[in-house]
Amino acid sequence: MRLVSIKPGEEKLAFLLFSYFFLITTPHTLIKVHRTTHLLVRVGVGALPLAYLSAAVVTGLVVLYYARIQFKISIQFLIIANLVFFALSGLVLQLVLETRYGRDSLYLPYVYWVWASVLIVVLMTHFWMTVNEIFNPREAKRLIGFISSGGILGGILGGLLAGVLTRANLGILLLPLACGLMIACVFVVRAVFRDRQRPPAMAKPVLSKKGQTEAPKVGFKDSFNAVRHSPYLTLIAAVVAIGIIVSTLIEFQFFSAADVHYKNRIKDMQAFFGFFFAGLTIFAFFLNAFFTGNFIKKMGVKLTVLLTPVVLLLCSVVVLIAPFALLPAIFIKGSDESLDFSLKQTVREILYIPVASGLKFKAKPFIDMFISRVAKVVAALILLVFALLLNKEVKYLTPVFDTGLAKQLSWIVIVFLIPWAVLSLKIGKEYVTTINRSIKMKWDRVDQSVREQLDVDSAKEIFDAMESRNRSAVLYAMHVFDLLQRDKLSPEIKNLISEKAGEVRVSSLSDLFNAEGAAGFPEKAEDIRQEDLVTDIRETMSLDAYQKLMEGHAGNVMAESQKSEVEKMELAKAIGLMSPDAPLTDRLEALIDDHSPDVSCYALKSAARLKKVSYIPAIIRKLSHPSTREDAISALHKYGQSAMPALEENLSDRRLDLNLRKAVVETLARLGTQKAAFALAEELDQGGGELDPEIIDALDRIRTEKGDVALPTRVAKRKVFSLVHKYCRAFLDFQELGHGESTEAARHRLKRDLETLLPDIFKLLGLVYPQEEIRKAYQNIETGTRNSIAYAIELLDNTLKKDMRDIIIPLVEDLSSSERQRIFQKILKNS
Amino acid sequence: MRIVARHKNDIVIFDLEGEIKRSDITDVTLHQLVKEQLDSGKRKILLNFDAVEFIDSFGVGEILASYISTHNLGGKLKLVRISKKLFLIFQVTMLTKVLDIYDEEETALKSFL
Repeated sequence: MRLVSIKPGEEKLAFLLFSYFFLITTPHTLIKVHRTTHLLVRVGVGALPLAYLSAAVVTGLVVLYYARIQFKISIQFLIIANLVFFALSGLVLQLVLETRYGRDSLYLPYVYWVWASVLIVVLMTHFWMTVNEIFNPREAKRLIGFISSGGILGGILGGLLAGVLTRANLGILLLPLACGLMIACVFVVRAVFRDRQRPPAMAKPVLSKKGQTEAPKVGFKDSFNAVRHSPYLTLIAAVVAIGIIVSTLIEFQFFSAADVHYKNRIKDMQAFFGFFFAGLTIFAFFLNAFFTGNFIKKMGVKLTVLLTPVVLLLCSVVVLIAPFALLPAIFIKGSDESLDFSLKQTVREILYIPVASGLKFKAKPFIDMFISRVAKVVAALILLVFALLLNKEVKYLTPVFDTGLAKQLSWIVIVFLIPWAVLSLKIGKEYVTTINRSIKMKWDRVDQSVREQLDVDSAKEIFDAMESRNRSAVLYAMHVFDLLQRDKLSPEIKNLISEKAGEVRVSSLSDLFNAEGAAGFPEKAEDIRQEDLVTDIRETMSLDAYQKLMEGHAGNVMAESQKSEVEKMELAKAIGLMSPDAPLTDRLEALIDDHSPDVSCYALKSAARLKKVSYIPAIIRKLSHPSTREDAISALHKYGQSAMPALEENLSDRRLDLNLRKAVVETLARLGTQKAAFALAEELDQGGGELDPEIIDALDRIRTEKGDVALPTRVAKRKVFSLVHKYCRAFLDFQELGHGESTEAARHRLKRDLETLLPDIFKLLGLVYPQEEIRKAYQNIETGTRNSIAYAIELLDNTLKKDMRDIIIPLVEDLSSSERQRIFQKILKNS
Repeated sequence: MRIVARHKNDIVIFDLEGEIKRSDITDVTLHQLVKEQLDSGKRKILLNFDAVEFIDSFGVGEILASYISTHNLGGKLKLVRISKKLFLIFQVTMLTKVLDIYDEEETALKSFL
């Protein structure tokens, strides 16, 4: 089953759908051969435009009728009723064709043509609607190739039967045989729907079951508006329409060549058509079974949609260059038909899959049945106008064509192929956009949003102010002053932090800061005039006398190491309120280095205010301890670019404590500058790997918060390959480990590696490709439903370039353990 | 400060005890403990403040860092049984705008579902 990518549990439904398609394409081919020969021999190739036109009009009416009835009855009943109707009406038609009237009538070939056209459209549309609703994009990509092969096999058998039976003078049996096969198909359809009604392991419950609410009624206008208002559906409609116009013109060229070649030799012509369609579908079968799936997998939907117009463009050029005969006509018709059976049909169905179910329900039948018919009308009119423009004779809307005219049609074909190619490019891009819209972002980084919602520094200041009340009135007063300076001393905060203020003890610096006054708040708000207070304190601190007095005090405080923790905190806080050139600021470095984390913390906050470069080495030393780490990071962040040289140096110095270097990474992430990003990327590239998770997270954060910062994608790509290899190795090692206590620790470690490597790989991918798409894909793969996982993988499949796609998709694709092992071994081998 | 981890289904509950202060920390901080749980695939974290008397700016930093690390990975970090006084400070400092805080453990656990 590996050849056709069917997974366990999917076999029955896949084979039923294969058979369903087989049993509608075999009669389709038999009827196609029979009705075409009938028309060409009885009326001539000039009858084709009128046949196309009338078939399109009648099919359009049938579509309108279906739009009315499809909501009243179940889809299963509709399909079965149609199969029975066409089988019975086919038998009646056969009886009429065998009468004298049937043999002489010039109208009956048209009726036959129209009847067959309606049959083909109705049966095919119902089949693809069923397939489309059952599978998600990943399942479709895997299984549609196989299911389509059923159709191609039907084409082969139908063609061979038509050829062989005609040669054996049993051409009379073609239509009854087709009708018998349609009756057989009824049983397969019943089995498909019976299988669908069991709790499916693979299928999503889109088709309504008995007792469930049917889809809402939609009319022609709804369907038209659905297509008109969706740029994506409009593009699909345009591509479908152009495809049908081109196919019709090519078909006309082919039938013209056959008509000229066989003249009125009905038996030879019918046998030729039978064998031609059989040979063609044999080719298409192999194309579909072994090429379609792989081509789509390798090239992605974006490029696959381009293949048909490009191939037909080349063929049309060949037809123009070569003399017009049956061979070049076979060449172009063969290319068009084989691609139609394989790639074109498959891709078209895949394009519908990301469309929301309700919208698809409205739009798909409209496009497949109505737009297709309109395109046929347009093609027929083009043929008529083309004949008139070239002054050809027209009798009762039946122009007299010659080979020259059929050959010149290639110019018209080319005129349509160019916009087809352009629209295909556009639709490929839109497909990815639509897939992208089909899944939602489940969460985002919150670093920035927390900062935006909260004034973290002020919040911390309030907590420290509260805490300081029980330690020192001076510290308390200075915190209040800080809050006042920041304009954060709201009445609520004032009430909160002044609670039990009377209990605050007086410290040795009380006199200098008039602690008695600071311990409580004035009764009236106007008693504190913020500007005056700030000016007074700054002026006091800049006085030489104050500096000299404090210098002596600072000396005493620093000398008494253990006893004077609170005094050191006060001193550290006070220095932060001074001017950077004040002599006392030289004392701060020693306070940063103090063994007490509280003293260090106050000193670090003051250093962040003064921003003297001489403090940086001391601040960096404080990055290694958890108690001072955050304050040191915050201080360095406030230094900004001036801290960069020291940060870069410490980042790459492997002799240093790992926690210190991790804190440097965090600091660079907060800085988020271009220089910081490059420093991180360089360490990621050149470093020993011990900082990889932190650096990858930092770069992810910079990419999220600073979209304009350029990141070296080359480094990220290289690292992705390296981490994927690690992941594969960890997976394979995990598989090899047996169960038991002796391996428990190793299993735990490998499981953890697998848990942490995958998000890192995706963060790196987000540096190379659109971050939002990659993040969305990862989140849905991790926490999504079966369908959203499939859409997420499809999004990756169409976003990543081939080299990345080949190593990333196997990590997340739903594979069996043995299959994953095989692919991982291959990845490791290729590295 | 003492931190004990316990598990309820896929939720990790950290029972905190004492004061979350800079001067009281051991070698392992609350944030590091949370990160360890995240690395092992846990995504639902509940901090039980029932026995917490007070926190300083360091404690605020630890809570916020834990919150950010958890939410960046698509997880949820919530707080429960905060004292009235602490809750008031959380309100005034607007921490309540960011953090999910619950009165009772049962309600908090249900909110993860």
